[in-house]
Amino acid sequence: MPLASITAVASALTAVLGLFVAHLAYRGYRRHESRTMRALAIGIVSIAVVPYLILYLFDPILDLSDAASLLAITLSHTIGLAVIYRTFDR
Amino acid sequence: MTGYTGVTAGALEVLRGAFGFRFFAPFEPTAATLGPSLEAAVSVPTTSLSPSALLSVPVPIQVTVEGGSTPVVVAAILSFFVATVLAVLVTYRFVEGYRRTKARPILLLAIGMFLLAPAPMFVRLLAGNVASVPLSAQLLLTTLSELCGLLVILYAVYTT
Repeated sequence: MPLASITAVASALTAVLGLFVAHLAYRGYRRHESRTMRALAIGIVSIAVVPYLILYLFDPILDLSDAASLLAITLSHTIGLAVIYRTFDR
Repeated sequence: MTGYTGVTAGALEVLRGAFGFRFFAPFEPTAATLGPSLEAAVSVPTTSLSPSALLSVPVPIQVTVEGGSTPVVVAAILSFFVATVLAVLVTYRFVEGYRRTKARPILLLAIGMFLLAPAPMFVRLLAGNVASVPLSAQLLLTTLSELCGLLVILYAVYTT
């Protein structure tokens, strides 16, 4: 199915790009001691990279149920977003 | 590759079922829903959704889940809502930051964050309740939105 293949490629690309953006943000944190950049790096990994790993790596290996992998993904989203949100309150 | 996408589809099907109005709709008990198994289908016969059918079915609201054990499904749904609220809040704070500072990179971060987090969540919420949107299209749309969001954030981070 072509649509599924496009989605698979796009999600792999998202994960790779997420890793790259997170790397840049982390470098920004190291250079400028910017906590916002560190939070952004953690947030992007949690939103774009971890869900990909859960779906395409841990789910097949651990044979998670649909709900379990969904819970893991949304928890990852929540943690990443909470880390970013925390930087606003200072 | 298609197998993996099937996993994604399965995970989203949990949301699709859970957020559908079907979740709250009364429906006729079937052998599956009366049995001890929680794997009973969420699917409701379309006939029972007509107003007259709703009136004529005296069964109290029943909820069955599929795709995992009930606590995990409930936790996943709660966590999804928390993540959606947080995503909106984070985007809002970025927009607020832009309005305060008028700094272009923050505007880009706001746009990128919107495409990365809240936009796909809205798509999942909305498309999950509209049967006419096929799951494959929904998956593609959310993935492309995330990809575009990351590209915008990349531009913002790269140019600052």
